[in-house]
Amino acid sequence: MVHDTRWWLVSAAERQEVMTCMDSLESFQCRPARSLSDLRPVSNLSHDSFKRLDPGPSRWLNDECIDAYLSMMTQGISYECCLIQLIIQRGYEDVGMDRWQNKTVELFSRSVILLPINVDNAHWVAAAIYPQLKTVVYYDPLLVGVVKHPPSVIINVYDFLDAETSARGSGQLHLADWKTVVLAEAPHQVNGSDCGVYVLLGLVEMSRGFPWQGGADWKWGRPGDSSDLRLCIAHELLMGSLIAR
Amino acid sequence: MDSQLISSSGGTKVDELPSEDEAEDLKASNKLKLVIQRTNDGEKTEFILKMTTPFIKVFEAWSKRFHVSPRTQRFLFQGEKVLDQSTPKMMEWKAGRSYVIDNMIGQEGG
Repeated sequence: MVHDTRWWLVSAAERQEVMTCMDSLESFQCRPARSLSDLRPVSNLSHDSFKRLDPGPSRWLNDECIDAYLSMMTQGISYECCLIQLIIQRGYEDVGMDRWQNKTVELFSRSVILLPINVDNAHWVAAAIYPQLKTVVYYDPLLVGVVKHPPSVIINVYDFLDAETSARGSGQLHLADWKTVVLAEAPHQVNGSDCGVYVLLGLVEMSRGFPWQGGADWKWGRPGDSSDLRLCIAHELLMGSLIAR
Repeated sequence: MDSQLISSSGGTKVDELPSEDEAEDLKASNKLKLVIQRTNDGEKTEFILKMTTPFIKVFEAWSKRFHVSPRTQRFLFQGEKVLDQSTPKMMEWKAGRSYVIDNMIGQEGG
């Protein structure tokens, strides 16, 4: 028998539990006790948002789904969607990162900084900053093939890097030292609704290490995987932890 | 563990204090002033609330006023999302003071 490497497949019982929680608010509220994530700010995942993961009708994911999922990650450091949007809309200075910086977060000593970014309230893309490698990785599930010019979203990422660098007294950001890698080999969505799903799974992949193979080794995301991936994410959210990859 | 979800930033600039009389009145009745500021146009709406009032009540009142569903709205204090069931007391806010919460529309994408 060939061993199935699709880690994202859930059992029939787990699927049943997900569907029950989709259908009934009471079941969703009584979901299994979370262990570690009880301490984390995931409680704002509403039933309405959770239902967006329904494997049947392909609905768009929202910021609550994204934040709740990223809060379960065990590697890397990630930003909440609203904070990123606040920075982009109001400019870095107006958001005033002082208070946050005082939290003594050693940002640049982290292996990776993960940013889920919303584009025009219609699309999700992902950026990952690898400070030690001085590299920004960009993943857009809609992109196919080679991109000649990095998308404008990347500018926001470098604005963020620049402000963080000077705010931490680390001198100026030398853009020439940095490079941008656009993942061309990563899975791309085959419909108009799965970008949130792909961005979440892509961010977890990038949290596990630099994508040296450009995402070509990411196993999920073949045509037909959509329902299973949505079930997997919903199941992980109910459990409060990620399935081992 | 090397994981952390960053949500807190400096957010809104330090809140304007209520006038002295107002502050005294608020303090005497163990209440505080909450200003909800819409991010896209800066529109401000003021609320007076008790230390133990869950924020969901304010968010619902605000949403009703602007004819939107509270589920589509996000409320942040200093860049950090405010939980529906949280209260000023849980946030360690003080009576007689004024605080500003930023409102944003929730994001979605496909």
